[in-house]
Amino acid sequence: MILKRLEIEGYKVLRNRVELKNLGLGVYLIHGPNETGKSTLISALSRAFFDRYNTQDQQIKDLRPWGTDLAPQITVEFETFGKVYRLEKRFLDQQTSALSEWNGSRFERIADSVKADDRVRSFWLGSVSRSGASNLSNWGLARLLWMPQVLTERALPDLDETLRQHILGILGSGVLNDEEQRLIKKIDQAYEAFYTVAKAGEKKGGPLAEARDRLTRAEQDFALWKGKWDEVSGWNELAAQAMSRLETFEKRRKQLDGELADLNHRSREEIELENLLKVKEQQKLLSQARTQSLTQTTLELGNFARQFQLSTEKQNELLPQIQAQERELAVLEILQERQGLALLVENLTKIETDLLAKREEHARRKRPREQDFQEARSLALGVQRLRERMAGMGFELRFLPDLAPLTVEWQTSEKTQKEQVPHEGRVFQSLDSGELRIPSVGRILVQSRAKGTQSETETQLLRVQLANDEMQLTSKLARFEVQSIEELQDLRMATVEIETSGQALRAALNAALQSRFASTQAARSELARLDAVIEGRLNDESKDVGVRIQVLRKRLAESRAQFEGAKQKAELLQSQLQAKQVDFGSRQDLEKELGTWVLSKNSLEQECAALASRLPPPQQRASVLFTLLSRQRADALQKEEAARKEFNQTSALLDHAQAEGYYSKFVTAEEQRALAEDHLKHQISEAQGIKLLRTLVHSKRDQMNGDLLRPVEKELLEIFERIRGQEGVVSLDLALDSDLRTLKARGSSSAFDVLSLGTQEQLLMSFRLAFAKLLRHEAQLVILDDPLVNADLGRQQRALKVIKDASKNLQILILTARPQDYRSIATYEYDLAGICRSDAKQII
Amino acid sequence: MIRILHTADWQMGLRASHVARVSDRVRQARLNAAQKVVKKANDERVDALILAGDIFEDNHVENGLVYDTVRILSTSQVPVYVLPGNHDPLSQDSVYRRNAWREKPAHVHLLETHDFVEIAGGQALLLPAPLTLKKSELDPLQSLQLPENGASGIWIGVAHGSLKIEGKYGRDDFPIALDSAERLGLSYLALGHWHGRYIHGDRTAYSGTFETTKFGESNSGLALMVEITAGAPRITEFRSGDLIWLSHELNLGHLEKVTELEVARLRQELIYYTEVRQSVLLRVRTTGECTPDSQILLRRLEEEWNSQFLYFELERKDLSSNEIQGRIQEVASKNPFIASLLESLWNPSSSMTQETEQLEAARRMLTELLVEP
Repeated sequence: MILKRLEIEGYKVLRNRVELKNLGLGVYLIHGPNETGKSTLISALSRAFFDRYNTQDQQIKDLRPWGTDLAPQITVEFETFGKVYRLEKRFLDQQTSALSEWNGSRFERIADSVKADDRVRSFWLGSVSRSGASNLSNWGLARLLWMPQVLTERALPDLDETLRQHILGILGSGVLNDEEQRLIKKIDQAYEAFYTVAKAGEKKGGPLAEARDRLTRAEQDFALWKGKWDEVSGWNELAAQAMSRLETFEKRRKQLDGELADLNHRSREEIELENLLKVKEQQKLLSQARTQSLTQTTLELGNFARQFQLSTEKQNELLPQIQAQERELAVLEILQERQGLALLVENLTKIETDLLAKREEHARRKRPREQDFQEARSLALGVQRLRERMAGMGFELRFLPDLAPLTVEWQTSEKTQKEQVPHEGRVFQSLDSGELRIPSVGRILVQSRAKGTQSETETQLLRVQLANDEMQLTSKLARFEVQSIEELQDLRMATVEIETSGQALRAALNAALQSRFASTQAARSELARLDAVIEGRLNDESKDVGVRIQVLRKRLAESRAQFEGAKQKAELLQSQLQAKQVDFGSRQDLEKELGTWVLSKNSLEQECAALASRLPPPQQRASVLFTLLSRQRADALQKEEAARKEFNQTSALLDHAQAEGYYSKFVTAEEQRALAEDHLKHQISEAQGIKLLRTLVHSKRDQMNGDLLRPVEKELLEIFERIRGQEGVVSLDLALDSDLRTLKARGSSSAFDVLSLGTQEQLLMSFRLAFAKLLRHEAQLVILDDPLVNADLGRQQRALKVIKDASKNLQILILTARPQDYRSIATYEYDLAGICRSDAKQII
Repeated sequence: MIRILHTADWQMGLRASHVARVSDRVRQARLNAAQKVVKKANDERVDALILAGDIFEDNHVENGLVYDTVRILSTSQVPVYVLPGNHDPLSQDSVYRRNAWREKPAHVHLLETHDFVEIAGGQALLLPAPLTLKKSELDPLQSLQLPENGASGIWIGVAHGSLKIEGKYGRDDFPIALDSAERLGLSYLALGHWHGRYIHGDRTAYSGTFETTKFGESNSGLALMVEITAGAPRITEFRSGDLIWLSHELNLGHLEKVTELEVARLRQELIYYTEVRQSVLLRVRTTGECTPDSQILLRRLEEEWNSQFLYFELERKDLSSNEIQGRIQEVASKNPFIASLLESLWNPSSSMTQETEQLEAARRMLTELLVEP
């Protein structure tokens, strides 16, 4: 849309009619000092396009020039989509709104009042349902193309969905139809019910928060009543325990009461019994003492009698023993005598036998006389001497074998003998010759050289004498049947001994018979007599008869002493008994009296035992038990009272709980919690569902926004870079947010506000130009209210060039108090102060 | 012959967080049902009205409720015998020790000991097994006091616990031997604890709760009329429940009209309850695949039945169909942006990591937003 003509009257400072006409493409400079109404011009234009004609808003009322009753009226002629329209609008008084279309010859009215207003707003793609220039979001495309002077109003526009879709449609991108937009709106509304848009957090006071709060309250309520209910359960438990104890102790106490009553009764009975028992005990003690005394006396008497009897019996017992011992002693003495006699007889017999043997020996042997013995002895000595003499004659051969012993044979003229020669050798003798035969060696022949000599003769003589002497001696010895002179000497000595022994035997026999018996025969007769006396005891003979006799004699003496002791004791006891009996009369009387007392005592003892058996052991006496049970009862009663008190207390609490309706409140709280849980679950489900839905929707819409944003951003940066020239060291990579609300460095959170005022101004202008350029489906009206106030000279010059270039396809209205800055690019120039006074001055 | 009315598990003051929206009404219904039972006993002039345990939900229910219960029992013209159960055991804190209960009339008897009780003028003996604990592994009938040898006639055991049927009882749930009635020589064993009516053999029976407590309690809301002679007892049911608990399944189909047909079928089934809708608690569990059209239908159904029935609960166990059909398909065909949105939700790309629940919720919401007028 571009303007063709603008006429304003009675509008704030523009009290008089102001008209801008013959407007077309190009740069239109509208200038004037401050407060001449430059910005008012834009205000009037926006009121005409976006306010309802009949509005009574205070801001509209404020449009009336101060101190007048003029009604603000604006006439705008504009071209859009190839058609020219005229909008005539009057506020406050005689409000009108009329839209006419140029039909080639004149303007023809096509809409009035509201319809006219709505139609005009639709040209700007503004909201059909909303109106009011005060709200910039109602400006539609104008918001994207006009740059007011006030910086806050210069900020990037709020892009509603309808406008966005229009723009996307214009740009040739995909667009959302009405149904889709309605859906998105519903989703957004539903989402915003749960979440905040800015931080995507749960909305305070929203249904989700409300559901959580409700559940929290319900849980708190439930916890409260659950706690109280648990307390009630605790009280129940305590009450049950207390009642259990109460019943236990009450039962125990009552049981003890019964037992104590029984014990009381028992106690009286036991006291009566004890008293009776005491009397009986005394009587029993008396009878026991008397009985004991009499029994003692009786015992003593009995003891005396028994001892007397024992003594008598002892005597009677000892007497045969003594007699037997005496008999035994007599026998032993005979036995001892018989043993002596037997020994004597044995000795006598032996002596006689020996004597007889000696006599026979003496009688049998030829007994040499002393002379015979001397003669033989003389002969033996003569032979001895001859032999010694001949031994010194002849020769001797000494043989020393190397290998000993060695058996050799020596042969002389007298004999041949075999000899074993030891290592030290052997001497062989011979009177004349000899031959020594050595096995495996040979024979040694020895020959005396005395043959035929005197010496040989002498030797022959000696040899004959020796033979003669030896023959006599042998003859002599043969007479006495002996072989040698030594045997003969022994025979001579034996003869002497026999004679001597016979004499000694006779002496011994005489000595043995000398004292008692005339002969051995007499002794034997006596022995036979004694054997007859001790017949049967012969086997009892032993060598220790003497010892036995001594022992028996000692025992006999002891027995005799005991007998005498017993006899004396019996005599003494008899005298004592006689003395006792004097005190008690007869023993029978004593025993009779004792019998009476014993019967009495036994009877009393039985009575006492019977009475005692009726009484329990001391520790089980009623009185003892009564004390014990009384204590137990007091204890049970105390515990019973304590349990009752506790039961009453807990019962009171339970009554209170019932009165307060704890159960119902607990149940209600439980149910309310269940409801709150269900509610929250439902709300969470709804919230999560809508959240996902919205995320999806926005994701898809962002994708579509990209189609809008990318070309705007590209164009904007190109324009801005042209204005910036080479000054920028670092290139700006700016991005628009999806709602075109803010510009910021791409990929950064840096706000637009951190840029310099000049840069902000230039960017905002660049955005308008870029956007206008993109909306190439028709020429657009761009209004720039002092856009380069903060630009340096270089940027200003480059910006002017940019504006000039853009104006080829655009209608650009520049409002300024410094026309010289823009004059170089202006197609037309209007001095607003002048216009107010007269017609505008056209500059080409 | 004698006749008894056997009921149990009144559970006055029921905790009803599972139907919290209508919990007061559910509790009130139990008082109504109690009146119904007493009236039946009076009308039938039974020899005894036997309550086999759990008359109260808890030993600490409000006094007002105890008074109300006693007041209803007081209207009985026949002797009433009440057995403490595991919910209201005869412990120290028992509800039966309260003044509110003690004010009961003489013909309302509490079976508080194991002593047998003569009923019907001595024609029969009640052999009660009152509970004093909330839990126990002991068979409550172990302590039953049997009459001395020679006593004859009708013996009726009254107990509260679980028959020892594998899989149907807990160890500490007062297990009762299956052959108890026969072993003990009982003519009838009146049991409480199981909420569904169950008859074991020819003389052991649970009456079930006299008023259903929750969905899925089959054979509940009943009392049993029992005629006992020398032979097996004759048992007939009597409907005592005031509320009707209905559970239905709606198998949604992804094919066109299947859901509509299913809903129509369900409507047909529910016609029977038209006159008593305000006594009906209805739970509909959806299964199968839910198309956007089905979703719209369900939403409308929910709105409709929420207002019609005392309680309505739509338990969604279905999954969204991956196919976009019907009205939504029509909308999509005219709106490419919406089509793209539907495509993203119904055939999500692998990059979408939302939980199924969130996805389902988003689908439901989009469907509803699209069909909103």
